[in-house]
Amino acid sequence: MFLRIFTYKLKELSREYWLVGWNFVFPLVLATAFFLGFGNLIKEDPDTLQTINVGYVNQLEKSAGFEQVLEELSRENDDTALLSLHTYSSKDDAVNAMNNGDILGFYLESEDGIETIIISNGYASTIMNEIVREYVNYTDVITQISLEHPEKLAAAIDAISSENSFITEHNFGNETSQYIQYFYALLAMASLFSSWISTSMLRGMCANISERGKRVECSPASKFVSITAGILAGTLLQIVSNIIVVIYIQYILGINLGVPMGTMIVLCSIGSGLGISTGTLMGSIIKDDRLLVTVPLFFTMVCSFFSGLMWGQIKQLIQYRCPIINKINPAALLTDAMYVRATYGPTDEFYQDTYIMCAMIVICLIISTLFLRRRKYVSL
Amino acid sequence: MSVFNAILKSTKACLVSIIVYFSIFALFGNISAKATATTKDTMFEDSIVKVAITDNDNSVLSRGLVEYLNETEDVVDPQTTSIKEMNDNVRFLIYDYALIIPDDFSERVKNGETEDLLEYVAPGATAPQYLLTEKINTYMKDVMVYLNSGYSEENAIALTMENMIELSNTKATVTDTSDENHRSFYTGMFTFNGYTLLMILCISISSVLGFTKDVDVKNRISVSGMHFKTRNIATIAAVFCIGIVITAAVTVVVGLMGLSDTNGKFIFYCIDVIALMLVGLGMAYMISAITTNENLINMVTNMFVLSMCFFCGVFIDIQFLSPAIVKFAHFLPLYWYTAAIRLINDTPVDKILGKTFYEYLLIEILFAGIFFAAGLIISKKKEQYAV
Repeated sequence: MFLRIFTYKLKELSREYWLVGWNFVFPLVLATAFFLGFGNLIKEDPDTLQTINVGYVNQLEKSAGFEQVLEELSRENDDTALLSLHTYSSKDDAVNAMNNGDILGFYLESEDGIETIIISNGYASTIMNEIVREYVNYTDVITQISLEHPEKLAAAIDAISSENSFITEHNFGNETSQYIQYFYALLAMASLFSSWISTSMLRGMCANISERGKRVECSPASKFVSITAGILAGTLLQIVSNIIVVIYIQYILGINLGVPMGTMIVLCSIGSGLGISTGTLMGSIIKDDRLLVTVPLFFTMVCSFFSGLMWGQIKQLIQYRCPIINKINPAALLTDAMYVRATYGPTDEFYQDTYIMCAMIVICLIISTLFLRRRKYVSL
Repeated sequence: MSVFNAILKSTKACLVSIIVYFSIFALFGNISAKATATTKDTMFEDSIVKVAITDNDNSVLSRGLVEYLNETEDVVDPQTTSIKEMNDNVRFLIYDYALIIPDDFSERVKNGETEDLLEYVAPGATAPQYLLTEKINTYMKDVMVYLNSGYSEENAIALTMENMIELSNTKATVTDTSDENHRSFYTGMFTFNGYTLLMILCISISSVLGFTKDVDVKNRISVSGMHFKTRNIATIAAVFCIGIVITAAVTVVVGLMGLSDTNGKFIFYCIDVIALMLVGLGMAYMISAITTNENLINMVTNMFVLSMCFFCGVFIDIQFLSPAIVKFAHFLPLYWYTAAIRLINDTPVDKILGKTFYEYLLIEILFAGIFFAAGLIISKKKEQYAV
């Protein structure tokens, strides 16, 4: 009986075209859109500091040393240079070059000192001005020491010219692009879409909603067996759908999600189970046919939004302000488990996320059982 | 009039979707437009880095460094002691930089050590990371030079601070004249509107047109005494009426939200939105010809509109897209809508009305016509083959 119902549920669900569209096709379309939209941003982070094109105009007979500083900064260091220096003979030439977009700004060195001329404010302009400040600062420090402690002047010049690095970056080894977050959130959304599978399955078992439900209610089949078979069929469909999306992202689009395939399949299965169990809970509580579509959609989209599907920053913003919300949002838990596994490996936080998701599945199924166990045709 | 009224009443069924998308527009459109809006700069201003500091040393030297950063940057509470969480916070731009001052910082400075005294977490080699690392290095170098030259800790810190504050007067000039460097609030709102208006129009109008294709409703209309022409005119008028009301509501909301940012270009954005409305109506007609199932309408609309938004510069600025995607986007109507918005943003008010602007509008209207024609063909074929 179980196998028969399981097989028929598989057939029934896979023939619901809108379900197939939302659960199988939509994640693939969205993954493609994400890839085409910011696939290149994953490979080349747009926030990485690029070489700044700067101009230099010297109105003095001879530069006091600032030009050498700029030349030094234009030399390649680890295949990158901070500045790309363009020298102009007059201010007008430099202004024209700046207005044409050839340079971001330029330095004008004259009797009055060094002036930084830029088109608009921003980090690059601040860096340009910071170069002047550092130059002036070191000159001031040397002047002060030469006046007050001339015996220490040589040591001070040595210290200033040295390449000391007082500060070092903490390296985590695994750099996961912040844009990968969108793909994790997409997988979480696809998993939660399976709540529709559950509500659709339960609709087919409710005599007050569908003709099929009347037949199921009249049949001698055990309700527990029917619902269990339906849940397992739905979960299987969703796991297959999620694995297809993962394979598509990882191997066809060529985006490395950073999570080992085995772990990814386990996480997708837990995610699918979570979607199915929350859907079963909704299906057991809601009795209005229209709400059976609207509520799972609303639930999925709200959870997905807060896990970073539309705005990648939001999950971390919640973590910063009110972390408990991330611990009760199923989409955020799944997204976080993938992110933590990819960035830091199987840490305590990863296992905590996984256990909470498993606990949620069990709780949803227990509550659903309480709602469904006494539901008879006559009581609908 | 009865068909006209019936179609308007049918719109009530889509009211929830309309309200949801309208709220998304009003809330997220506003947030994203405000976040990306910039104005012309009249004077040079330093870009401030948002830095979270964990001072484990709490010595005179470490407090001096914190005070210097407090003076020049935006110092925030890291809200955590976990370095992993700090890494997540900088990665997702909660703050730009996390500085950790170890407990032996002061001791090592006094011992004359000059390497790796401090630790930071930043999201890769970004401009804020470079800027702040340079500033901290300069500050530390100054302090060390003063300390090694025989100054006391307090004097070294005071002199360094004095130097740094004096340096704020370094001469810098901004020559900001072009609109091209800036994105107005209206540009942000109307760009986001490309997503929400198309979604609202496609879902509501496709669903309404779907109701009229219901077999029972269709049969009742057929046996009524109403002339075919009158019936169709009423349908078209009702659809346009819904479209105009939704578009007007959207533009009024944008107008009210951007009252403090008026620049005389609002009318041009409105003209572009009207052209987009025609595209939305055409698409809605085509989708209603493909299916009358509400779930499928939702799905097809989401797939089509969301994808277009990613390719055409609505969600991601066109400068970040690869050239191949931008070329492909030329075959999508939303690209021309956003192109017209960029043109309005970058051009002075008196020069907007010109050949390029008309071309963009014409292309949008042509797309609307193509969608409408495609809808007609699909309907005809479906009728022909009784699908």
